[in-house]
Amino acid sequence: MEENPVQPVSKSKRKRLRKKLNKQGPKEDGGEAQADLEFVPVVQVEPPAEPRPCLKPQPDLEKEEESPVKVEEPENTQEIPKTEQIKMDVTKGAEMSREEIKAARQAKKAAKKSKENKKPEQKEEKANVPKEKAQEQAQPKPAVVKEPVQKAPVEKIVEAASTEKAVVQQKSSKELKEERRLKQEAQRAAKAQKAEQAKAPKEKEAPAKPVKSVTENVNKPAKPMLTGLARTIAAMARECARIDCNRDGVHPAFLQLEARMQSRLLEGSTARVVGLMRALRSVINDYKVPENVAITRDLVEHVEKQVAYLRGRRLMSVALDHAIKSLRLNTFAYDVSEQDAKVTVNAAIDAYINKIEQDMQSVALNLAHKVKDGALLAVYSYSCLIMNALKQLFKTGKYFRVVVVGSTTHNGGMTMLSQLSDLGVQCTYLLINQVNFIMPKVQLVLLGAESMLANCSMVGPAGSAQIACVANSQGVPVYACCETSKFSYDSHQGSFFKQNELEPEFLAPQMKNTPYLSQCSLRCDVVPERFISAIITEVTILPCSSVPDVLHSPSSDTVLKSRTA
Amino acid sequence: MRSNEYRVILLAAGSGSRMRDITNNKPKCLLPVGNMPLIWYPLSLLEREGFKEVNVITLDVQHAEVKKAVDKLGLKLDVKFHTIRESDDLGTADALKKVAICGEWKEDVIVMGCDFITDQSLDEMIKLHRTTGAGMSAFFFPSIPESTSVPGPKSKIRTDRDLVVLDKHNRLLMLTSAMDHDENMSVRMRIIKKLGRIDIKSRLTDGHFYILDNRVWNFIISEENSDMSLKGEVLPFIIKQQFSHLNKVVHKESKGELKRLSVDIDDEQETEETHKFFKHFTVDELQNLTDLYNGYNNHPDSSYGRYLDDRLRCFAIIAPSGSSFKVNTLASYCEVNRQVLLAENWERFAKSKPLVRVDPSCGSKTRKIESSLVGANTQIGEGVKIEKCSIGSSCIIEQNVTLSGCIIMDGVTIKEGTVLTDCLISDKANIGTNCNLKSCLVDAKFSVPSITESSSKILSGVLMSTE
Repeated sequence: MEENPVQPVSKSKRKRLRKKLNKQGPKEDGGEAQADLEFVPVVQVEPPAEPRPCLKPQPDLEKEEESPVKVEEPENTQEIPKTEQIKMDVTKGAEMSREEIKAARQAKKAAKKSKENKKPEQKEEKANVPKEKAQEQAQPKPAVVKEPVQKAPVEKIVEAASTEKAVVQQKSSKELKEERRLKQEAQRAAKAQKAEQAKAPKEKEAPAKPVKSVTENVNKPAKPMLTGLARTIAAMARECARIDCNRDGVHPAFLQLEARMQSRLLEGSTARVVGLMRALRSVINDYKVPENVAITRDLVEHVEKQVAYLRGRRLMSVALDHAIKSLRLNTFAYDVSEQDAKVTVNAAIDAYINKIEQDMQSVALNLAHKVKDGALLAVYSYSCLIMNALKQLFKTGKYFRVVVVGSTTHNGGMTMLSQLSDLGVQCTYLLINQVNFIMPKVQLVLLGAESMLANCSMVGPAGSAQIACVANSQGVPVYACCETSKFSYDSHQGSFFKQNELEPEFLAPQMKNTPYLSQCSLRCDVVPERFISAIITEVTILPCSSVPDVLHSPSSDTVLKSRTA
Repeated sequence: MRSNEYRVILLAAGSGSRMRDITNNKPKCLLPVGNMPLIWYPLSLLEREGFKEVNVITLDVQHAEVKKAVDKLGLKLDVKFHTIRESDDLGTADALKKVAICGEWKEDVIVMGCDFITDQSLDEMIKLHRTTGAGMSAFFFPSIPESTSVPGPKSKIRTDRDLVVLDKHNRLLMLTSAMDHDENMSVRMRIIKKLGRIDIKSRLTDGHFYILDNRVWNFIISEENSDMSLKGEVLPFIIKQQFSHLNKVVHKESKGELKRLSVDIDDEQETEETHKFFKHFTVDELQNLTDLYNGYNNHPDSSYGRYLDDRLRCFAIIAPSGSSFKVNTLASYCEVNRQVLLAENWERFAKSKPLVRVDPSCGSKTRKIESSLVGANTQIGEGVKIEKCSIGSSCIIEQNVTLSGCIIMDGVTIKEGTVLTDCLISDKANIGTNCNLKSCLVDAKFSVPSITESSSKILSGVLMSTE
């Protein structure tokens, strides 16, 4: 369905692309590809010299997710399938907390040791491989391999696993020893009886994948193997595309909310919070207590089922979590009647909506202190918080002009522009690639935050970091606008984190099936602390470094902010 | 899975007035397409998509026959039948009201015709409906070409085309029949002013597949709705209401402006009905607030907000060409029968069911059968040549018969040496020896005498209107 109403952006974009191509005149395929790439913010092209064999066959993926390995994983690691974690060291390492890094380092050491011990046996096994197979194995060796030697694939996996903290992270060296012993056993068993391999527990099988299955894969048509970032992206994309999330018992209101969020028709965390509240209201109003069940327990479970659905689609953010917790569903008395419970929840929803509105007003008041008369402000994309603040500011009679920065992938900038110009504010509109030359004239950059992280960085719509960086380099102060309800205990440094979402469609759709191209466009950006001069909250204007203090302060409703699982 | 999300109503009481020649003896929903009754296609689509329960509306006189046929299909669906009396001559909207008596529904409702065949995923359609927050979504697909060959006399077939007016986001702005506009069609200035650019499409067929928001559904079944036909009256009315002054989102702060807005009404005569309609659209504060804070705007260039600040929005879901069929004319019936004979098409339309070309019960004599379907217990004689035909069950085809491009229903007897090309033979017809028929339509139970040569005719015992 090409003419689908939901993705107007992509359609017009495609048209634009086509126009541009036509202007340039007919070109060869390669030329066209170049032209496409110009429009693509994040496109990673894999070098064609990559056709290495897949170390693990793709179909195994599903199986492994159910394998006992999963149980050993620490609960709050990413939900990305196990196989993908192996190659994710670069991006994931960034978001490890200090303890995690420490643990990982220890684990690494232990793993190294284990590797050394293992080497002789590995060679033995390699010798056992029939010559033909060994050759096949060597053949698809890529021209540029970072590892000096192409070791037996078995070892390679071990190595990969050792550099990867996710698997080993929380295992003590003792456990590692145990694992090694099991692995050796498994290898022996594998040699002796290949038929029984399948039955061997997955944990052992993963590192001790029998040589034979690897060589089998070599025989398959060489599939380009994604590495590093590309692999992470592919994993995220696959996970996003998965529709396996259990839909049983999910209320239609939540299904609609999910659909609208997923297809980017509901943008901005505040809008999403209100949307969530609306969906919750219909859930609560349609709720019926099953017989012989305590409402306290069942209602919480019922709501949790809905929320789990959103979480499964990577759509839960800090603000949404906070909103759910604010309802305090688990604090009902045991014998509360269904009617009373509904009234209470509805009241809580109203109260929360009121609080959102109040917070917005407070932020507007605080922002007013920072905007001088006649100032030129720059805003990026749409933020209802900033929009409201500017509206209030304009109503008080202050004169200011606004540079609205937009991007090609999101039309938030356009929304901002049309609303501001409706008010009568003097506006300039430009795209993010032109922000450099306007920056020296700007006195203040305002960024609407999706969330503030415990490491003092800000999560904003993709592109925020770029604006902040340019502003910073030219000495323009950057203010993040964020209610304290969006402060989070998480800390990410890269943009590849759990709650971040992928664009629902590719940026270069006509190159969708190109095997060496992985496309990725993330919804959110992480703006590092050093780029942000201050945070404007509903309480006061804070320096970035005080995010943890707010999180820990006893006065704020810390009960609600308890770490998200 | 879907049962808590949508209620489905399948309209199977249609008499097939546009294809009277083959429906006077058989309910339309049981016409064979690829040797399966027509109603099987929507039912299996629903089953595939995880629906548990379907409400089927049938005529009382056909009820038993349809029920028997549906039971035989062995579907996992819980099919609930609702009958309407043929003598009442009810419109579709009235029929829906009959179903609604059975209980109050909180879910959204899908209304579809039993003659709708598609390879599109319902999931996608439903997703579109949800993301746009539409009050009503209708399904359209490109019409089959008019040059499609049809058995029977080559009369000039007047197809009633729909005129579908859309904006660039496929929002449905108008839906009328081209018949109603002989010379000119007027579009209200307000629509053009609001949207800047509209597309009027005349080559789209309405799939009679509608997803209705609960509020719209409540209006349709309510007392206030006095119109009879869904397609002819109710839906155009609903679509028109999009441009009512009452359709504005009323934000808290702008309540005072409501009065100002109501000044520019240009058609007062409808206001009363409009008020009745919007009574079902209660103000949803949270939805308004969500829209207010939302950063997405699909009309960034206009001074209106998202979706032009409308509460009621109707959207068209447009499928690619060849993906769907609406079997309500003889032409489309023949076309769909031709299409499903191709293996890849069969797979598209009947995903779950494997294609059985020739039923094993037909025996194996020397014969030549190419890309055709043959039903159970059909006897085929020696030296028979069959090409691109679908042949029903319990037929008798004697030796040296040549068939190409024919649709042959159940229980037909074709005697020795007959040659049939592009014919449609109804149930239990009898064709004599050494006939040569081309593009003919043979009525049910009719016996064609031996050595008949004829082309482009309707062969039947009674004189019938040829539309």
